[in-house]
Amino acid sequence: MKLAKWQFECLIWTLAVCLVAMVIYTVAFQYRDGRELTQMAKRQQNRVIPLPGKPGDIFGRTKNSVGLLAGSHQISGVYADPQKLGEENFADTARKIADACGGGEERISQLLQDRKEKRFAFLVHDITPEQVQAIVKLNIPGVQVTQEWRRHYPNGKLAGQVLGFRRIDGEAGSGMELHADKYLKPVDGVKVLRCDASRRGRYIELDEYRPPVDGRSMVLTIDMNIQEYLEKAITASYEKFAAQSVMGVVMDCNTGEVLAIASVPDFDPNQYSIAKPENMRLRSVTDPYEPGSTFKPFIALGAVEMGKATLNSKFFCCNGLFASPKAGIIRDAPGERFGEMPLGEIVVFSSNIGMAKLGESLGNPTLHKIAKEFGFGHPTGIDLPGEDNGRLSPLSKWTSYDTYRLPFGQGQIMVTCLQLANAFSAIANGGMLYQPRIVDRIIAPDGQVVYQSQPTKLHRVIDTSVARQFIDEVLTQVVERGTGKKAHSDHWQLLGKTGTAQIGTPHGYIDRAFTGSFMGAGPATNPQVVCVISVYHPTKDGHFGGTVAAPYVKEVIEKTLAYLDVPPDQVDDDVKTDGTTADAGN
Amino acid sequence: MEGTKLQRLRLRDNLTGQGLILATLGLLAIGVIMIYSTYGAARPAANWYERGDAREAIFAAVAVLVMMLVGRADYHFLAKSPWPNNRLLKHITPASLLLFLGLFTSAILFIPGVGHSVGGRVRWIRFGPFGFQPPDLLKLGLMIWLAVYLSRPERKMLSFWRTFVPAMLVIGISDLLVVTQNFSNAALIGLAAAALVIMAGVRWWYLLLLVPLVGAAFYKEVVHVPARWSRITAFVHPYDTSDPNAYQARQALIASATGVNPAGLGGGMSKRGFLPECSTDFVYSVVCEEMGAAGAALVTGLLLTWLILARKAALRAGDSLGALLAAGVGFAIILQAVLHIAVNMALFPTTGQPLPFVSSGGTALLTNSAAIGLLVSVSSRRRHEGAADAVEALPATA
Repeated sequence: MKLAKWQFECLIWTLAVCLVAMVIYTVAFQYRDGRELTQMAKRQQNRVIPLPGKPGDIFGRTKNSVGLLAGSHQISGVYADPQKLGEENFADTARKIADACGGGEERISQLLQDRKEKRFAFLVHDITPEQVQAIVKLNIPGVQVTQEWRRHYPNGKLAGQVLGFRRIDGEAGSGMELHADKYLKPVDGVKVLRCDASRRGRYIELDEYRPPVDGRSMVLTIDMNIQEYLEKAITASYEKFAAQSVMGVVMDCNTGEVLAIASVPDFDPNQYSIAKPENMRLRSVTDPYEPGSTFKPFIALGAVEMGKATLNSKFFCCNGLFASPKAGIIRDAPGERFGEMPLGEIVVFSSNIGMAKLGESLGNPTLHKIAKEFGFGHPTGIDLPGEDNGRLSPLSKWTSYDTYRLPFGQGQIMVTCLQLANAFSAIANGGMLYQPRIVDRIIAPDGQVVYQSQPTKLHRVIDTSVARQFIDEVLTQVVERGTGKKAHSDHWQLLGKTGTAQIGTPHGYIDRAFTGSFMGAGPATNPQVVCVISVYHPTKDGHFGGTVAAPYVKEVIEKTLAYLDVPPDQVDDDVKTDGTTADAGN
Repeated sequence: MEGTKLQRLRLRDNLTGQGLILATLGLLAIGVIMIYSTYGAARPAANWYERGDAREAIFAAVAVLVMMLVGRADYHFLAKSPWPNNRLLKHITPASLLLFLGLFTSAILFIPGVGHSVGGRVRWIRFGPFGFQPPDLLKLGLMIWLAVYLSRPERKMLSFWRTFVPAMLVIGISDLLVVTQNFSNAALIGLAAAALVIMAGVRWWYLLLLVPLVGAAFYKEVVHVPARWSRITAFVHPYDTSDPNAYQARQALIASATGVNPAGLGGGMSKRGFLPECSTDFVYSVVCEEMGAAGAALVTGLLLTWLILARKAALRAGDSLGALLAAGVGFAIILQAVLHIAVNMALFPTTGQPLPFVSSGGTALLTNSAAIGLLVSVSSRRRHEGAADAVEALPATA
């Protein structure tokens, strides 16, 4: 007997089966868990180096060129690889980094702790070259210095609310930065290196390289100089009349381009962290208010266009006090007692009672239709975040009160400054409602223009001849002899309309709180620019639109027309006299 | 003696021996390549003999030489004593001397200053640049001695007291010498020896008597010591990153699994510091990583071929000494390979078992090649009468 046969066979074949089972298991394991474990392997081998892209610039226009409103520059920052660092070293590392470049030991330690499973944690942003040297000298494996892009706004507060701000980590915070983030935001690149298991992570090979793609730049229709005129004017009004806020818009009435838009109090996007949130809001598009008398021209013109009245249709203005059974007591401005007046004069002298009578003759559906035609109650669709609809309640909610009060801008109507400017542009340009625009073009990093906005006509609201007659017989007269005399310009014939509205709340009107507005345009012969300024709740030295807003609208329009090289329309005696005195001086 | 009746086959006629040699050479070749690959990631060595890949190549060459020489020798010299007629001295045979050498070198490791410790455990005896691992020698020595002991014609296999107990005493002593330093080696030696005892015809249920003894020792020394027990059970949850004991198992699995898209020879990442002991205890994972399923199938296929040829050699052996030698040595080597692969695939607690012929390590390589030599030697000696037709037919066809 040499071998115990069956024991021998049993043992040998057991081993053979084991071997076969092992290799089957190995292959099955590779196909079952291969993908997942390859990922795990990559996580422990790969070192990720972020390559931040540059966010797109935002430019404003100047007369012949563009100027930088928001740009980016490169700064240094510190980041760490928490996994390489090892959790036991977090406290020590945080202390060393905080010593070298600040940033708060506690905060850094917490950041590392929060991202301990990750391979990347940004620790300190924006460090000086000396601090970079200090970090490099620390020579901690897993702690690296990198470059990142930081936003800056070279013109400070100028157009701050339009631009909004971009946070320190590159995320958009508000304004155009937020609204156009999908264009401005860069696609960050990444470099993934395969490294060995040593603490230093010796480089073995390049696993992945994705270059960063810079964001696209944009040019706004905002003209930096006109923006400056507007901001100066509304700031002056804000300070002089101690208003709660002042909003303003300047538009090119023939294209729908917004040339300037601002509100005060404002903020400096370079210091967004200390700004009050309410000051970051561009109130000209976000805050609706009751338009008051600035609404009268739209209703009057709508009535004329629809043939329900003419500029000469006469209404009795009840000598300043109209006690209607359906709409309560309606007064005209204190001291004004009008008798029977044609419709044109009612607008020029801004009689509430006259407008209420017009409303009575038109009826609610017509009023609603007119307001809707001018674009009220709908967002204008401008490319800015947080635009308000304004308010134009559905007809079903209207009462007889509104029949009388809507024509002078009370009740179911609220507007934003931009809506008002855009609707007024439709009158100024002869009856065409345009889509207001603030983005002029978008430019790819390679310089190619990827989007160019064009004037977009929405629809014709009124006939050109009707508009022309209304401008000549009514709106210029407001400036010449009506409520807006303070908007009179010596160089250009301007047109406009004042408005003074009580500030309403859901619980009724606030006593002695008003919004004083003026919407103006010029020159009357061929209107180029429209400017609307609304002073919300001025508290001293007056509250009428003709006082708190009209002079500033005039100032802005005059400066803008001069800047745009629009020739003064009357070469009249004054100018000649000036010329002769100048000659005499020589 | 039986030996006189045996006829020696020339190697060209000995298909089993050829197959064994070829399978071994294939495994050796894979080994040399893999060791070269894994050492490629190591830092440059100051002296050539510190380069593991160079040493491996030299050892492989020496191993081939040893295999061929032992293969030519007659394995019966292992059982021959110079004093066959002396009642005591007839026990002094090359086999018992080999066993004694293995026991002796394992024992002197415990003398402070002799052993060279790696990883806190004394496993080496060093002569200058060369190290020597006693357990490898002990394993071979024990298997040979057991084969010789159990094949004595006067042995009564079924005798409990005269065969089983003495064999178990020797196995027990060998195991005790190894167990404190290397638990898995002890387990391997014990299992292979027990298998040989069973294959020799000793009643298998005798071994059940040992179960309570081994079980109690295992419980007291391992299960009851939390540090050791957690080390052993860590392989159950290899993806638990909070358990440092699971690290090796996890890395071995990662290396094996990434072989679904093979990295190519030299292209693996695990050897770059992620997988410790990748040139010895985890070489199978590296083979999988760099050669994918094909590599795994190649290595396992060679091992399987080898096992089947060893079985054939054992079954066709001319006498019971040859049969037991072939069976025991073959079983021990493949058992080690199975254990190695199981550890690499986290099917077994993480323990340091090299893959025969593939892992680096000079002592294991030399003892294993000597063992193959013995197998070749066994396969080339057949009983004259029983296989007469085959032996005589061969020259006619040649």
